[in-house]
Amino acid sequence: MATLAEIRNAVDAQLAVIWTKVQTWEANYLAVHGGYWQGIINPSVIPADNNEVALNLARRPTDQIEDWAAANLTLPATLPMAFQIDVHNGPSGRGYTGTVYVKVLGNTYMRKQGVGAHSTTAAWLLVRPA
Amino acid sequence: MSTLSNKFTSFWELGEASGTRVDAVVASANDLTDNNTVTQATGKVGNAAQFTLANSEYLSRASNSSLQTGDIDQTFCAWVYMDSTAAGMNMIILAKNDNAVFVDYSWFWRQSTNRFQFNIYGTGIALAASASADTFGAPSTATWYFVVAGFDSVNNQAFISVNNGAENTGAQAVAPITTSAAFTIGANAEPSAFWDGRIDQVGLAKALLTADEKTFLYNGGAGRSWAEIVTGPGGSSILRGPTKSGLIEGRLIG
Repeated sequence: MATLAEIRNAVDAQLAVIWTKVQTWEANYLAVHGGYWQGIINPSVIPADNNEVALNLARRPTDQIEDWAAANLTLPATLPMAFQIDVHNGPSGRGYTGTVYVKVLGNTYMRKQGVGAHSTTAAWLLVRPA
Repeated sequence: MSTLSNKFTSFWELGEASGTRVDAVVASANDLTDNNTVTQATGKVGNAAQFTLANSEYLSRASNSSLQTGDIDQTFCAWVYMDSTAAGMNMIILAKNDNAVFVDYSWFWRQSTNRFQFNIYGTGIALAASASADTFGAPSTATWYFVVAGFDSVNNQAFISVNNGAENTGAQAVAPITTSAAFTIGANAEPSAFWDGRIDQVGLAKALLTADEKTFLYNGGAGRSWAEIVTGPGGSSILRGPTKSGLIEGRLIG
């Protein structure tokens, strides 16, 4: 089985590709809608131990029309991580934060990358021990 | 200003339709960021913040000294209304808790016991004290509850009560601390443990409230606006801070 470091490195590499597309999509979405696009966690169950899990591109919040398919991020059919984008609207303006989750040996780790006001960027962190 | 309103470090009426939620206590100005579009629904007093669990909605503010409590007297109050009781997970009313490294306090509906509960933490996320609303018992969905919780630093115990009823307490095990975790309403700061339903009239006081003050806030089940809290009990007619009814001293909320 892949080590924690190997899994994180693989996810980091995959995220780097996706993140560029996310930033383009979010900039365009903001220009049209006046706010950023929210991506509900996908897949809904965090993949464990580097196993690939199928994405559901129809997932979306109840108050937003555009789902993952509409974002057209050319995501692979499966991912070894769960990915979500939270959107922020506060006193300093708007922003968004992408978060990836992986589960390794029962431990859940997350990493965050943010853009704009009230967003968060954080290195890998253990958030739910086994 | 009343004796009661002076006790509040921050008070959020949560009547806005979306976006920033204004802190009625101008000196603190702990205005909250809307994450994932918290909406609006009929509240206990005017409108309330409506949190939809499926959308991961919550409100937040970066940590600062006015939101940190630690080993001091502190009281939190809020009106809460659950649309559902989420299967397999707790639902946070408010917290300073990143679910990983930094945890000050966490106030939530606990799934495993079906009770409202308040926890305050010490070094290394050790539980400093905890109080569960066992006397009140199991809350129902689609019902408003006035919940008051906090920590008494003289008697060294956490406390919680529902609808101005009898308190449950829990003794301190270790000293509470302060951390850099973000302050949140409707989830913890990870974020996870999302609330499903409405939250209204949230107050944070770095003091204990008297029995008369809690009775005033409960108001026989009708709640109180910030304007009413400012003017009584024992208050003057000079209002400060925003109210749900309009502009007071220059701050306007929707």
